[in-house]
Amino acid sequence: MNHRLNNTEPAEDYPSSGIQFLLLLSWVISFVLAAQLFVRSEALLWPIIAAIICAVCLAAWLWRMRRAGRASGNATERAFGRFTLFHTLLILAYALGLVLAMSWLDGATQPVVRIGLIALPSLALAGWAWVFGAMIYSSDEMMRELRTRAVALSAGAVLVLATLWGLFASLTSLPAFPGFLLMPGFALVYVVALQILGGDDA
Amino acid sequence: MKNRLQELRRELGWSQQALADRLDVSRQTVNALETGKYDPSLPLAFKIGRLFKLTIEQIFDDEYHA
Repeated sequence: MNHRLNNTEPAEDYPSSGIQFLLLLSWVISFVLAAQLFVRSEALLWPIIAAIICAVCLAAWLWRMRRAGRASGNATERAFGRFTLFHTLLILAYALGLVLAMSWLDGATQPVVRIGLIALPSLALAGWAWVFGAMIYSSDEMMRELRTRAVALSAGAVLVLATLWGLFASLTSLPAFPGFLLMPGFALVYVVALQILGGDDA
Repeated sequence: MKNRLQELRRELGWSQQALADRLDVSRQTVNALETGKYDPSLPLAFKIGRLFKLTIEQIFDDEYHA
């Protein structure tokens, strides 16, 4: 069954999902760049420029999400908009927590601080799971099915890619895959899968 | 599966959004149902039937002829 949604009656003032998707990709990529530059580079100029680009794209994306939320007609559509928003904010919190933990963990000597630094990204992941749980019990069966399908596709794709990486890493000189990047990788593939399946309001 | 959802909705002068609100689903779901891209579960089919005061067979046609 093909779930790609065409010929929908136009909703008034509903933002284009293509632009929304581009904004999402822009802020995610600039965020990753900013984090990488912050961790690896000595100079602060480039991380700051990347962070500013990320902040502008994120602000535009959130503004359009809000507009889409206002244009959405009913509670079900708004709920799915909220799922997307929470997932985005939580993965952002995870990535931020990860950057902080990687930067400060070596310098932190007190066990409480060390546990706190590790718990910060872990809490964001728990939030992700909770939002998925809420989505599975939402009232709109088709949207629920589309997103569950997107989860299955992205989980499968990420597992295959990570396994292939592991295989090449063990047989060649490729560096080992950092497992903590599996979740952000999954989130990125999930967004793409949602776009392909056509049930996205991101 | 073919269905008369669009026809029934238009008879009542409802928009897709209005029908979505009554069924507690999104407008995208109503559109997918009307265009036959998504077949509803039994609970949703019964809900649609109750809304239009018709049986499921009067709305949905699985095109099976014995």
